[in-house]
Amino acid sequence: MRGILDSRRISDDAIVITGIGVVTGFGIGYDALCAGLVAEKSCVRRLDGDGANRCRVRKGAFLERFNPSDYENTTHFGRLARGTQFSIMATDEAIKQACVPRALASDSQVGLVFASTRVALEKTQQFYGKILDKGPRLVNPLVFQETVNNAPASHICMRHGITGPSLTLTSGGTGGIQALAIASQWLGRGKVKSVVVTAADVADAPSQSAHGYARGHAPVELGGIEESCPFDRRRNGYVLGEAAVSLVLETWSSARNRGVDPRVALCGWGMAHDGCGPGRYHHDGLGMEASIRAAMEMASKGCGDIGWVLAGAQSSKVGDRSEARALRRVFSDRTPPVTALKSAVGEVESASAPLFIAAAVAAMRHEVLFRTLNHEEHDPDCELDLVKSTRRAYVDTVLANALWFGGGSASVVVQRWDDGCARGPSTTNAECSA
Amino acid sequence: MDRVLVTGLGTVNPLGLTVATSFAAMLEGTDGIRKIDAFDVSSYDCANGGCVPAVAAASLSVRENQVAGRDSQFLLCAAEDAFAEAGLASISQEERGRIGLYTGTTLGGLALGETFYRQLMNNPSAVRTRPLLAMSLHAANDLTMSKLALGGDSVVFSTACSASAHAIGCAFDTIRAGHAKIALAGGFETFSEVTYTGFSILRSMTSDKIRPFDRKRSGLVLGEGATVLVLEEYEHALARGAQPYAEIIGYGSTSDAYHMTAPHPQGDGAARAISLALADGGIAPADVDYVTAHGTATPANDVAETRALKRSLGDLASSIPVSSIKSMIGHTLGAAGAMGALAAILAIRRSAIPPTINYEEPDPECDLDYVPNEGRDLRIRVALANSFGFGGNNCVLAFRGVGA
Repeated sequence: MRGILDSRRISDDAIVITGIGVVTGFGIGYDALCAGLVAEKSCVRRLDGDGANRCRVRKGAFLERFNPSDYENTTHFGRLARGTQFSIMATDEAIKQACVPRALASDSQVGLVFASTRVALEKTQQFYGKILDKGPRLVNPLVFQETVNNAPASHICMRHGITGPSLTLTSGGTGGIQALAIASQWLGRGKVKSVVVTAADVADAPSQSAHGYARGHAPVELGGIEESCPFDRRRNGYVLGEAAVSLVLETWSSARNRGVDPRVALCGWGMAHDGCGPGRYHHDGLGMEASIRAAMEMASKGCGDIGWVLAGAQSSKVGDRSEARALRRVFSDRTPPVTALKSAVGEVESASAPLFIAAAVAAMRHEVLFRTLNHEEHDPDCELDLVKSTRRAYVDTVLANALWFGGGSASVVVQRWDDGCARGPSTTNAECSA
Repeated sequence: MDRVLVTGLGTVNPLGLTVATSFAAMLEGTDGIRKIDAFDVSSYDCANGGCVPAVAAASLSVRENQVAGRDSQFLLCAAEDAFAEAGLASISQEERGRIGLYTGTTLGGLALGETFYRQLMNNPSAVRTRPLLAMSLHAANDLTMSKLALGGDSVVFSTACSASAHAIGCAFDTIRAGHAKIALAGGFETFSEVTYTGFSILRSMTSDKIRPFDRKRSGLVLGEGATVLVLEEYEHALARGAQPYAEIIGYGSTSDAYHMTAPHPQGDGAARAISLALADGGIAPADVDYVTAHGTATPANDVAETRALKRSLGDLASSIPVSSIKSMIGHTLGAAGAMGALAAILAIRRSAIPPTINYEEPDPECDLDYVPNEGRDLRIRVALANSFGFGGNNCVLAFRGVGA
């Protein structure tokens, strides 16, 4: 994929996003996300229920009072996993917004890449619980089919008649950006005309309990702060969240020919791995640094071009510091404003980066930089220009990061569509690190 | 930039723990199915599976081998062998830092997740976190990336039974797009009670032998293992003197959008995937000399696949040998696509086709040449590897002999 600034004009094969669908703790729909962020709200709430009672952590950023029948009153929809329901809802919104014709989907011209870390876990635990309780002959096959990780993608394909390629990624928190990269490659090779990228993870009770026992979830140290406060010296683990985000990608020429307005351009992406072993980050953020540099290089963006960074920071002691160090090495003293949105929406795992892109579009529209919540105590290990209160700003180009337990990291660069494509000149990565 | 070679292979599967022993056993038509001892199977009609003996990864200490999940051990063993065989052991750390790992799996470390869940139900205060960390589908990748000191992309695909074929296809695309010179790609799978019960309750499993394309076929038998390919950009491989097995030339992927568990009865999506792989490779049906089939031995799959082959290959379908190695190793689910790729690549390299064993009675609805019971010597220019997954995920890979 060429950087869209290559020739100071828009190239036909520039990748653009023409549809966005969102479900978060703020509510159902992209507008609910915008309203929540603009109002500086948090989705983090106290959890109830049996699953939460077994768990020492009681907070999560989840969607309250969600009743599936309010969205679709069918037995089929009602029996799906919560994450599958969210995925379908977000995809419905994105496809509707992008006006993707069903005929295009059923003509194998639309692909789907779905990413999730643990959407299938809800039904897997339900199914396994029945095996232990009733024995293997009395379980429900309709539950088994929902334990398969690609079940949400298959439901989406059937619902929208998508007969092009369909993939499901389970790489963890970097999955959302990996999905965007694969979608871009499909478009670049002309395999399809549009790709729906949907990413979802949910804070259902079994998942919540699993994270609690993993001891990464706040409070890691009992008695410490239970809020998500990325880059804050008091940070004490992440708060699990839930979200589904769907983005429709196509080339600029495809969008133009269909008469659809792009919401934002996808300019570049990069992925790397720390290689430190399961559950670990590199303490200095080497992988994160590599993925940021790769994304900026593909986007033909220099340090001065990045107007805002949406950090992957989740309020973990090592992860936040790793990302801060990576950003400092790339940007040196010219670190752009940085916001850690997980302070408001929780750790939404695979959906994180797609959610950041949706938030970036909202920030471009409202001309604000959303703030990092709960930040009170400066951490000298995280020297960044952290956005602690909402700032008015014209946002042109945004870098979004994802990093994940086990060492995976990924970055993506997006740029506003209206007039940003004609902007220049860029500084170079070599200038950044000098 | 568009040409990509297979320069290394590694595998652990029910027929062997090395590429050479595995393929020799395949050509002999060895039955790798035996009684499962991974968990209690007394409540199931089918007690057999394609079991892999205990393995120990060379780069893990005794303690690490004890701690690692069986899925991680499988993947790491296969990746270590592929990496070494490709002659990559001596490359620089800088080059390792650009190599990624693309894997497919259905379950990852779910077997350890089941352990965690039992502990959680029985005595929450005694829960150990190790199984929980290891059950993540990316844990095996993380360990392998760490032990081989790789720093590129680490991507895990979970499109059911076509997962590892998709992993190989996407790694192929990544190299073709110029984003990498070398990538490891493959898949891994282990037994778990969840999957065993699920296929059992769906009545997909047989208590008989697994008999792909046979009229008496009555279902699949599950298997486990891992296979990893080293994919490498053509010029890069030649420049460093690599000895390629074959060239990967095409990748076709489609969705049935039809049913959550059943294949499209006319093999619609599968036929399109085959045609896309041919078109991607710039080849015609007449170029194809062998197809390693998905061939699960379920009544529905084998008919649908036969129809898909006829639709996509036309009249030539009946003259092209088609065999299912699942008859020997069982259905390895997320690893099946990589196992099929292994068979296709080695068939090209050795000019020999593994058979479909346990084949006794022809089915009028499955009327192709399934290479019954005995391997066959044949020079192969191009081989296809079919993978069709739960939920209608289809993926077909095309390989060609180097210089063919």
